[in-house]
Amino acid sequence: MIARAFVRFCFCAIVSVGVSVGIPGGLCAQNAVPAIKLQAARIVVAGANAPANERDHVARKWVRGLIQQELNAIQNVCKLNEKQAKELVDLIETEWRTKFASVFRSYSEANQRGGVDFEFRVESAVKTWLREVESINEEQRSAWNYELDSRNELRRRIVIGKMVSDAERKFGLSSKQMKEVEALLHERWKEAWWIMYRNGTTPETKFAWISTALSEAQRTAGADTSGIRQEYYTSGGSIDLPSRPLADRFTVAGVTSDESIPLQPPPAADAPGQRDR
Amino acid sequence: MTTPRFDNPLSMKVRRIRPLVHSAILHSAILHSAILHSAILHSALALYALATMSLRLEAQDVTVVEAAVGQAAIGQAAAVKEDAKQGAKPKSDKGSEKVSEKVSEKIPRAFDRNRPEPEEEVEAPKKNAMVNFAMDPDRWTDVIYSQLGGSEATFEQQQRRRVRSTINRIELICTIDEKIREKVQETAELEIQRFKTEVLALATQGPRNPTQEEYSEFYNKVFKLTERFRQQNQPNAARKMPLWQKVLYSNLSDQNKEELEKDNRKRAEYRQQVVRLEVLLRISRRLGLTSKQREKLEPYTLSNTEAWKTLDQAWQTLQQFPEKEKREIFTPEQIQELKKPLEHSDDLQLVIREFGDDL
Repeated sequence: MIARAFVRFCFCAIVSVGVSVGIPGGLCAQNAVPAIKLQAARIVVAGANAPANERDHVARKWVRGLIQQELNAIQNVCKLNEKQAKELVDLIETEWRTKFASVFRSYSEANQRGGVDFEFRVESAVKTWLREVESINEEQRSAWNYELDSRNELRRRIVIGKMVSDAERKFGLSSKQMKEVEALLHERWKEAWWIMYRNGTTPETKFAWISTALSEAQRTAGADTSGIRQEYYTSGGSIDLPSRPLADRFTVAGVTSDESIPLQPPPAADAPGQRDR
Repeated sequence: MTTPRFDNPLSMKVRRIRPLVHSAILHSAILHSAILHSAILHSALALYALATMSLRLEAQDVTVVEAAVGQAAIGQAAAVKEDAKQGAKPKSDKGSEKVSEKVSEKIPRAFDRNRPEPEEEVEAPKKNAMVNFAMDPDRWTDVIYSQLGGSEATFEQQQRRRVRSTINRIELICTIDEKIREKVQETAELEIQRFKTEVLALATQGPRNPTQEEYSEFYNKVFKLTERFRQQNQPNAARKMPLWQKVLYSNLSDQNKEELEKDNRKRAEYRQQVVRLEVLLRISRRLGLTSKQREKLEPYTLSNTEAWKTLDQAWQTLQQFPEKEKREIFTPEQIQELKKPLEHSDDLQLVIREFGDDL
């Protein structure tokens, strides 16, 4: 029994050495593992929540960057005290990975940006976290809500402005009519327009929405749909999304997240072939 | 009034020949030798048999013809007589040839199976040709119009709509006479027709089996030809005003021109403001600005409009801000972030198309 076990051990050892030193031959070629597979295996070993691939890693860095930016803005607007800051930052450091698991997955599986609105998801998550921190008072929360409303108002102005510019070309509007059309579109505002715009398409201005602002001749002529539509790809990834390394802890009001909360192991440091963004 | 006639030319010939054959038989029997006689007899008999058969056929082939036609037949018969002497082809055959030619002319070439072979043989594609089919002028015409976003019909439709839309807009600001309106539309129509002629002329010059180099060379010509219509979608500075716009503009009074210019400026300003706001939003996203910070920054976008047309320009402008102003607007973290260069993602290309305006 012992002799048989020894022989089996020796055989395994010889085979493994053969693979590691790259001995040519049919047996070694069959056992050769592609570099990509080896890399993936190493990432999986690093941690259950670790990035699955490069895109996943990039997405995580963007999300962390956006969260940190939101924390800075919260501090500017709400003026958190040390206790509030500690509670908030610890909560975020604990939950951020699970909260955005679906975001990372959809981004890493998609070819491009995959229709993931990082900004919107981070805003919603931070709003929820602010509600969960009991020490933050109502006044601070309403101040932050006002801030979010202000952002949305700017987005609305931009999207409607783009739609008015598009209508100006299609229907031949005068400057006075542009203002009228702007007011009409404000009345009809839909959040979906912003999402469309974020994904690279200016929403279409329907004739029926603005027909009251048009002259008889313009109504008869209808829309000029033949021209090239305006296309704005505003979600240019790392151009306008801040990035933060996975090893850097969240900080707000000079308070950093607790050391006891494990950080995500950064795979970029030892994984070959990964770009550092 | 109709008369039955034998108008078969062959039978006519034979009828006239028959008495001659009889006399020939008699004369030959008397004058020539027995061998010669027998040969002539054989031939004469053969001719006789033919004549008899022809007469039988004639009896069945009675046709009813007009008197005039009958006269023509007589004339024809006389002609046949002469032809028989000369050994030439009967004229009636020539006539039938002419008819068949006329009929063949009426048959569309596509359905004519017996059409003559083309004189020039189709040039075989070169080994390094881009496509394995001949680029005839029709194909080139399609290529040219595709540069303007559609077909020939689409192009015409676009141009007419453009004129109408511009006139409609101007009429909101000042009145345009019917005469001027018609004049402008006629000019636009002429411009369209001129362009179409130019396209046709260029398309006929196109190489039939172009190589990559020939294609590129010709494509440059196409690009140049279509440039002025493509530039209609570009900002004012980069394009040349179409002729119909010049006509329209020259027929307006100074006051109207001024009003139009004012309106143009307002519309352009509106569009530029939207672009500036978009850049501001992207800066805000990158730096995490609050609404108060944006309010502080917005006046700067108005003071230097050129610097806020793109994110890159705006980022560089902010980096060059005096330190004092930076500290007034941004937090220390934001100032640190501002020191970093803008990274360009290769995930998604930024495409921004702007539209110019008409008058």
